Amino acid sequence: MRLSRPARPPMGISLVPLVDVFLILLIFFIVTSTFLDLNMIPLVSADEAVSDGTPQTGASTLLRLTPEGAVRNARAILSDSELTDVLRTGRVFLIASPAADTQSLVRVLDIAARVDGADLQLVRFR
Amino acid sequence: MGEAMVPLIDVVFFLLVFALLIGRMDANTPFEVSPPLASATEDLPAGGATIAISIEGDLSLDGSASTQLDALTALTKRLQDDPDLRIRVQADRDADLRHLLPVLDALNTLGASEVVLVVTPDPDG
Repeated sequence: MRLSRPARPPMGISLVPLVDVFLILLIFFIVTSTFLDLNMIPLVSADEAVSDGTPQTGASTLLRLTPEGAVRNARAILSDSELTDVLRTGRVFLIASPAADTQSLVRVLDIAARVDGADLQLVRFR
Repeated sequence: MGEAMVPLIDVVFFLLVFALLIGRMDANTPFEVSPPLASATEDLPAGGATIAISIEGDLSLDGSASTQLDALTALTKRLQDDPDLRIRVQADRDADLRHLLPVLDALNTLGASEVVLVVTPDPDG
């Protein structure tokens, strides 16, 4: 008696586990990642000299950042346009209140960044 | 059945590559940080050290919670190895400057040549 068995067809590699792996990886990245749109404001850059605290000559203005986030000189609170004008006139030293929030400081830096050649320096007493 | 799976693999693989390419892996902070809003900003390059400051004044360096002293000690060593190290300061927008300014002052003292403040684009700007 001779048994004949049909030739078994060649087995291909199952792709289902591969898809499972990719799906799991994708879900992992989607769940664990947070997509943030982040930019930067340079505070110190390599092409700028770091101030050593010695007094500078030339016209300069002293302003204060109040705890409420307003910018003022000795007389009054400055609006954004007035601050822009002051930044155009020369060097500005800003004394920031420790109680002011970071957003207030960034608002001032933002205004300074829009003024060509603005020279704004933060002053901190030790 | 095997042939029907190939387009699905292509789609899934493409989505994965897309997510990897458009995203940038950065160390996450151990606390929530909402960066300040700004409009006149520059693109934030990858790389460098990241100091995060929470609204309460908690500090982290490259995703690990740290004290200011430990973070500055670690940064001192890294700056010795790489004087051009970029330091990114990621402070919460509602964090008081009493938490931020000492860090900036310390980085100035360390002689960091590139310090940037991380912000997010202002949608109204």
